[in-house]
Amino acid sequence: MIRKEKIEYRQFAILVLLYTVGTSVIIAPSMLASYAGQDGWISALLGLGIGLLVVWCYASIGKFFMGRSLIEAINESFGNYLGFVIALIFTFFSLTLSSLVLSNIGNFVNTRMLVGTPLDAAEYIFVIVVIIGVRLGIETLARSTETLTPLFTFLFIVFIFAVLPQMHPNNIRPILEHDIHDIFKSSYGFISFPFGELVLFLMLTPFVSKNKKITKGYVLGAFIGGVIVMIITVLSILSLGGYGTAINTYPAFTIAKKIDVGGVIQRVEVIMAGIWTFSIFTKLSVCVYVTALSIKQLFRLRDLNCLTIPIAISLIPLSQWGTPNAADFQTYTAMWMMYFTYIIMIIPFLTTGVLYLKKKWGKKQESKA
Amino acid sequence: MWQSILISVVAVVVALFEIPRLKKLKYTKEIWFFSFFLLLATVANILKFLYF
Amino acid sequence: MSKRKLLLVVFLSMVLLLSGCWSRRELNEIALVIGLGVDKIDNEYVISTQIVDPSEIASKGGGGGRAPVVTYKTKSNTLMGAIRQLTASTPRKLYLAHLRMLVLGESIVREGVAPALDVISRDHELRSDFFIIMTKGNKAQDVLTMVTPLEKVPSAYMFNMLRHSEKYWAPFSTLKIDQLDNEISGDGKEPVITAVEIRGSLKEGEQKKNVENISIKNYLQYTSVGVLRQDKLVGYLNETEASGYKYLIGKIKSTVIEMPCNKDHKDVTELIHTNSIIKANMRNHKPSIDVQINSEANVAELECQSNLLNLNVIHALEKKTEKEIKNQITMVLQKTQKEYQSDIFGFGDQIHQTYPKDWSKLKKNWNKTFSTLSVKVNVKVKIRNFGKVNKSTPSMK
Repeated sequence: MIRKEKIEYRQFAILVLLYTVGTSVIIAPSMLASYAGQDGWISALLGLGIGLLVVWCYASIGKFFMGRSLIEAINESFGNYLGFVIALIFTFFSLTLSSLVLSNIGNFVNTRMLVGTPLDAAEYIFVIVVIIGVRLGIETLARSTETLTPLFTFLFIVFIFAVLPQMHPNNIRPILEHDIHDIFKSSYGFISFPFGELVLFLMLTPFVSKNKKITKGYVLGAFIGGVIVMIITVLSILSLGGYGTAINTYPAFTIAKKIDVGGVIQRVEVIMAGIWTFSIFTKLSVCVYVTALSIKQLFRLRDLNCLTIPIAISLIPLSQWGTPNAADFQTYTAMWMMYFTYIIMIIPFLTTGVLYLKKKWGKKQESKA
Repeated sequence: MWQSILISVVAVVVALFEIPRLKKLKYTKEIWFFSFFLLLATVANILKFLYF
Repeated sequence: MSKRKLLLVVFLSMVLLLSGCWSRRELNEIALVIGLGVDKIDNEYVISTQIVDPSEIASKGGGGGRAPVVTYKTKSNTLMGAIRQLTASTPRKLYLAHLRMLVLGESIVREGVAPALDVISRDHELRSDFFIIMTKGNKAQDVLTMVTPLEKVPSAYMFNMLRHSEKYWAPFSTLKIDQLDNEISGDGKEPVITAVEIRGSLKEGEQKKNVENISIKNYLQYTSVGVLRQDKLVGYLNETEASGYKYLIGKIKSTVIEMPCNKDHKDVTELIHTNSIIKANMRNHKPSIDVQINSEANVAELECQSNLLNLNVIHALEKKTEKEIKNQITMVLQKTQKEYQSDIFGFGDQIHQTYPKDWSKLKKNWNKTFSTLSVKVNVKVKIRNFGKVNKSTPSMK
């Protein structure tokens, strides 16, 4: 199959990186500290290790599909009927994820930055930008994120150095106070979010120009993204303490608010929030793109752009119904989304298994015949 | 109330842009899917504005 | 076609930019709250808000003769209620992001300050860069109505006063909201709050006349430090004890130490660097604390006759300084352990960090254990320099 759009593996890695950083940078520290307290960074380390393993598996699977996307592979391995159902579940997952990402950024902007602005206004504007991005195609999206990456890196490094004076090394002690059970409890969430959610990129692997480079791009992006989230977690634990990190809804924003370098550089939290808004924009764009692509391949349509506007518009009511309030988002939604992600994470492995067996079986049949 | 009228107008405008484009390409199946999804999205938005 | 696209881009960028102005408030529509006082009188919160009058502050030609700040008082059952109630008596909406001082009245600190702090750490408009102090003897509302010299805005006056006294004078320290929150919610360290007092009379201090004289009779002064247990006031430390506290936790930036050299004269050394290392030990499940304080000092003032080129004199001065510091620390330890039973030094945190297993048992009854805790203090002072002259001025003979 010949496709018009192509992305370099470097652009693919940047997409994966920003997607990983995406929403997790603002809420993962709090999630990690909720069970493990000041040991949250150990959970992050554990989660990063296992998450990278998962991502490496995804990359190998993506390579194994040989230019087919996940839904095409599902169709091939499970046949028309069962395949349709599984692909539909995957599409639904992608849609749910998009709406959660939107509600995340909406709530964040609405509670911390533009407090008087109605939630609707913030979300509609965000969605308009995403529609423009997605309609221009994955190639344009990848290139635009690539051009903004130096800015992202620069601001992130500035952020780290600006926060340094706020840190108290004692906050991280005692190390390993919580037992291993609590630490694992925190890292379960971290494996599914953000690493498990990277399953969406299996829809985008066919666009990568060189099939061999998929593993490199996938794993490198996830690794750097994971390390960024971990650094933010360590910074919030060091400057707010384990308890402070757990009770703050958006710890990263809270420490950005505390930045005060010699009384000159202060009140810069909105600039810092800008880099997160940018990464969340990338995540939402990828989610919407993948949803549209899934629907397109699911129903064997020929045009992708006609689907983006309906999907993007429907995200707003979905996001507000899915998470009616902040408490709901942190407890109930986070929980079922985690289980949902774990279920979806199995799909590529199953598909690969069936494909592999079919291949072998087919060869046997051939050799017999 | 006025928001739901606004969103309906937006949906109609989008349809007026999209459908001729798809018609030119003779994508009949896509027109049906597009209309269906757009209707769904618009109804969801209207419901949100009216009841939630 | 390209023109249409351009138009679309312009419209969309307008949408993006204008949405930021959704709840914009112009400077002449908001009231900048610079000081906030909280009292509890008859089970009701009394909020006093000090608001800046920008036209009076900015004007170079003396302004229109109005006071540069206005302090409003409102009564309500809740803090937020009181703050919102103010819109009924001010022409502008309060804007809290530029708050400098939060003054807690003694009454509310006695009853428990945690309920009042919630709104301050929850509200989005408040930042965490303001200082928290309490009043001793007076009400917060009175402190916020004093007219102050040198600084037109009393809250800025108190803010800078605290900042400088933390730097150059031992007893007092700044306190921010997240630190207070952490210390109240944690169980290994109890908070202390610097307390301010009105010197002179409030009635005269409220008048503008107060700053028209050269000698100021009625003024604000930091005099002591309030010791809290959980979120309730249990007592005060005087200046000497408070400096002992600061030596122990190693937060001294620079200060001076006076010690008698003969009957009616004193020598003074100036500390320039101080740090303290607090170590927790556990023997047979019984905790103990070792504190090592290292300090560098300069000779600042010699009232008795002595020749500083004589090494013995320097050694003697070092020893005397050490003794004085140790003395102050013993005083504060005595008072907090025996009288207040409140672990303001964070010994509990130290034990928590080194012996997390034992701490889980100790923390339930920590205040009791703390009162009998054995604390060994070791002070080491090194004198580096003696200023411009190496002998005391001989004019006294």
